[in-house]
Amino acid sequence: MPGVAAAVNGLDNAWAGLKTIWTGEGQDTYTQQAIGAGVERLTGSKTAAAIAETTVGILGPKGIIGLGQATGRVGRKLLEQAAERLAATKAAEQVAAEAAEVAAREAGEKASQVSGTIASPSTGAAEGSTSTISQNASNGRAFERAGLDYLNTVQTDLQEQVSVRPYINESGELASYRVRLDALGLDDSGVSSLTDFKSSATAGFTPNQTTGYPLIEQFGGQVVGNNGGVAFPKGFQIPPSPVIILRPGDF
Amino acid sequence: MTLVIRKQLKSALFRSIESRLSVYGFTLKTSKDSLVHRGEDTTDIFQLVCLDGKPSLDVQPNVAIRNERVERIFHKISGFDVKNQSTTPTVGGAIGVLLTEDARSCEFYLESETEIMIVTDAIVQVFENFALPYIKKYGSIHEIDLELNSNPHERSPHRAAPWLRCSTGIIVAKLVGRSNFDQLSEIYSGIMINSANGFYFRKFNALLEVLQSIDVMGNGQ
Repeated sequence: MPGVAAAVNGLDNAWAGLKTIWTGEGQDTYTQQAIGAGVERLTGSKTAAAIAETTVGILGPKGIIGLGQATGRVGRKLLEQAAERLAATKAAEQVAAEAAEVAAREAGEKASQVSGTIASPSTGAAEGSTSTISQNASNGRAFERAGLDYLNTVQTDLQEQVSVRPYINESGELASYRVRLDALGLDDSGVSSLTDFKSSATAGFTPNQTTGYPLIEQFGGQVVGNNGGVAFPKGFQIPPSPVIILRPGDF
Repeated sequence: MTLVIRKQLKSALFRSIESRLSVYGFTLKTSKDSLVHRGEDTTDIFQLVCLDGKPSLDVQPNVAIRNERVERIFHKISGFDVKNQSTTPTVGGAIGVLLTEDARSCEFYLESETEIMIVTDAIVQVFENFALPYIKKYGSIHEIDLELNSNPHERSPHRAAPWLRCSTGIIVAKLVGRSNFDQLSEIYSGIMINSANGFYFRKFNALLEVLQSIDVMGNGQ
């Protein structure tokens, strides 16, 4: 059950939790208590906390891992996420390289997803060729995730893949196009921070990014679409802010 | 996974979740990627932010409460387009952020139709165990007041952006009749002056003017 697993992983957010996810051993009680504490902090309800602890007790890491192993792909996702967490604890230069390695290892399996077939759980091997497009996409996503791990250490309230329409002048007139930021968050002063991850040293900009990023820096922009979540709802006005470009080696 | 397949998966997932949440009175609002429950003066929002996981669909649940009275006041000066004003939340956030400061800590991966039921089950559990208690708690404007105005200098994950936090905080302070309203006005004005080079300060000042004509709840407002 990937979602619950993800919640468990995040609540532990530490080596102990990572080890639990990775090996399925130990720390179940710790995880349940962490979930319960989180729910109680969120809701102020000991009852809700108890329910959450019970839920994790029923579905918690061992059960999730068991399910994952049974279905193959679910387990792989857990490992993928655990690998991402692991990468976050390593030196900055290693993060991008390890993420790329994970992506490369997964690329064969993911290629079968793109073509509409499912990789065999027993072998995990892809049946079909890996296209350059899907491999680039996987590499890019892995780099995004590594970058988000980094940003989570310096920003709060991060939202991914947020689309923004730039203002084209000081009167607040909007451009006819949008750009998609890889991350929108708040720095330690509460100021909006905009980030675009480029997964190679040479990755360039789309035409909209070329014209849109300078406009956002000069005039700001407006959130469009739903990916800003509750924190940055559709229509949220972003003040003039530079779009920070992060490439391998930048974090 | 092509864009078309991802859209089909997303649509199927939302339909599946709606069928489970209808018992709680929630209905699907497709254009907002949300399931909502409308009350007399509040709207409960369970939003599923859907990201391109290349190739998966990565789903991050958000929970929010919209207090109609607060939002009506806010949009007198907000600058939001009218088309966006009717759905803005009053408090809430990504459930992963509310629990662990990382939206990805509560995230679901969907790669094929065969996974819809299992992901639906997991999301419904998050809804029941996390979202419903949250909605119950912050359905009260007094709880919102306590959350935002007890420690006005501190960040609140329930209203992350300073502009939204300060504006919502001062509106709620007025509506509940906080005795330290003037003090809060000064604190929030200071934050607005110093945040983002004062980008929102003019609007916040306009909000303070609007609030002069607003009475405490229960006095005809």
